[in-house]
Amino acid sequence: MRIYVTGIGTVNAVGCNVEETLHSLSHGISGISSVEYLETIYNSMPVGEVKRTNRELAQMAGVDTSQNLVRTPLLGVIAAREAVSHAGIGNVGGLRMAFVSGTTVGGMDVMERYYDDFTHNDSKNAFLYPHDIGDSSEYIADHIGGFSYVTSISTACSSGANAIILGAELIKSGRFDIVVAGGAESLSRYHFNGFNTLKILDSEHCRPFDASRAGLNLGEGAGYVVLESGNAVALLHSTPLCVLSGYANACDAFHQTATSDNGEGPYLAMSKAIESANLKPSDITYINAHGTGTPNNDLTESVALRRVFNDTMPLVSSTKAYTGHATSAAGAIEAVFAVMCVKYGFCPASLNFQNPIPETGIVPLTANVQTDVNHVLSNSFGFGGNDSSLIFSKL
Amino acid sequence: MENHSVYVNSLSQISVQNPLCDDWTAAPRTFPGERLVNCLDPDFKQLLPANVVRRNSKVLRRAMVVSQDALKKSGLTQVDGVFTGSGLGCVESTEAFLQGLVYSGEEFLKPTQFMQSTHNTISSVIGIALSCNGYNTTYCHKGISFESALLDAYLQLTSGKIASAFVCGFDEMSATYHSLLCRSGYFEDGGTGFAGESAAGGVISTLGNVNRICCIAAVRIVYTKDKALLADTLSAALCDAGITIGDIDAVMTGVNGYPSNDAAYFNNLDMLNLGCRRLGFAHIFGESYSGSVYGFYASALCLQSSQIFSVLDLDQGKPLARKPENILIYRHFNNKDHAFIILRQC
Repeated sequence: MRIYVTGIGTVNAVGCNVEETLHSLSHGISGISSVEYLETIYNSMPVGEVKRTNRELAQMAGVDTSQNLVRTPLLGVIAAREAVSHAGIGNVGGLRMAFVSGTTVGGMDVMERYYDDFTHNDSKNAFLYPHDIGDSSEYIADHIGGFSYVTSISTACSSGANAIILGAELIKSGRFDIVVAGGAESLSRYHFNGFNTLKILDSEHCRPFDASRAGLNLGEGAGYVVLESGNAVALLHSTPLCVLSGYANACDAFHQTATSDNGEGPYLAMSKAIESANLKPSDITYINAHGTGTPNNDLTESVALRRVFNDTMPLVSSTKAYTGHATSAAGAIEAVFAVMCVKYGFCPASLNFQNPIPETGIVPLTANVQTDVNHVLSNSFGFGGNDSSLIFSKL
Repeated sequence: MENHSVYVNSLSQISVQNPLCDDWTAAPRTFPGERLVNCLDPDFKQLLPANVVRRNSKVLRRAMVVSQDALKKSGLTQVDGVFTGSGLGCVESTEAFLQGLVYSGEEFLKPTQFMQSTHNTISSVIGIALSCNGYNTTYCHKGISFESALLDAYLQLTSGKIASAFVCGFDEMSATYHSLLCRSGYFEDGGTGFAGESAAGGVISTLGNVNRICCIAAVRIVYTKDKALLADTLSAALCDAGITIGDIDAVMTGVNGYPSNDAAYFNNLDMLNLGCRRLGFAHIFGESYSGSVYGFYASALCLQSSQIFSVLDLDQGKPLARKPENILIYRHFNNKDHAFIILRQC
């Protein structure tokens, strides 16, 4: 069964919508800069912030600003609303819609601000909703409306990709006709400091796949795609942008935060995704790599890329140097990028690259390429070895 | 689409009852007046290597022990995927890191607490414990966390995409987080309910030649406040199972002793007021987001042993006139998320 992508929406460090994001990607404009909004003592660290206050985000989202404003779901409402509007979803008649969203941070920004009050007194009870992952997804779903199943996935940095995989499975099962799937993640002191304690944040701009890479820059944002069955496309007269032709989720089953030396999880995710799309590795036009810029990820991802593609490597780049690593939203934001690549026939350059990793010698794109893009492979690899790959293909 | 039958092959639990056994069916531990009860853990040092016990938080130890016990009991040596439901993830490690951040600032934080705090840590530890390189995912969606995980596994099993899965629910509860969730209204004032934790799961598969406890005949979840859509969803579940409402021998509810939670069950499901046998699990295992895994476990045990354990019976009624063949499990959360599971004797 074909799964059509009929709408996309995103907000991230390089754009508050698809159009702005497309402009930044096609002009090599990075959104990485010093901390402005996150409250941290490490404010010289580079991050991929969405340069808007929560109040400004709420206005963009069309949300009542007198209510408790939580960053993750606000980002989610903006991107999900854009995707639904892009797909032209209005009256769906008897068609059944589901919403699947990935996040890890959820309302942690509010939690870290009011934790002491939340656990000791009633003074901040008004800020208790929406605070956890399920709340965050239902908040987004309720602001869009029309969903008869809402669920949340949290598989760290592959959450958004796994939400899209579930969306496709829900359509294939015949239970749903339209699924809005993706993820949202805001910066929080909690996970910024978590990554900092792991010593994998670069104090300079990240350099994916470069020999000198020294870590990642955290980012934030949201991305959603609208998936439809053929039946829904026909009934709603939707205009498909591309198809989600394959996907796979595999587990490295090796270590909580490091990937195995031979990149088994990433290898399985990519090769099974290609197999599920009935493609050969040589059919892939472009790979939007996970490419965070950490020594461990980029090395093991490169090893896995060599195992899958050997010496006939498709075009490869990482877009993390534009947006930063938006963790649970990354897979969904990059799925939106993949759809843009297929639709507009271009592959974005990997910024800040100079010398290849000696062990694998992979050279990512250093300039944008305009070309017919038939199949994009999008990688998302998470803590815990939760590795997923998606393939978006031309109609 | 292929349509394979799905069986429950094994179950294992750590809970507020005695761990890794089913003796609660005869004489459960009781907790009169308690508002929060934590799991009664087995002696992990007897079950896991000393360095593993030392390095891992409680919920991770529970995950390793329960998953390995379930795999052993199933008769399989490997599963094709791991599907975890956890409303809140690793609360103990999350709170430890959060308290460090809130009370001591950003300079003295411990990486291990962060590493063990992401919600998917549990599922990834299970992946490692079971040496499973297959599909691995974590659902964190309030009171339908376990059901969402089960639905994903069920769809992949019925379509033939995978042949076996470990499906589970894990949640921890601390005293401080309990106070927060009392404020949020999840743990209600009044009533007889108590908050618990969850740590249970089982192997389910489409395989014929292994241990079978019961069959999973339907899994349906709906997000709605509309009673008509709720009724349609129940009808769809009955249709999936090929039965009518009269074939249901008992309903395992999420009634937990919290007044407004409980009232919704009787408002939503007419059959609960029309003489149908009403069961519960939360008065024995406590309430937690993924705690419905115990309702699934208890219902499966009833079907396996062809009896309704009287300790589950909310009405303490007479024994069933017939052997139970079909049990409907219904859980709602906030009267918005509703899940129906039908288990059948096999």
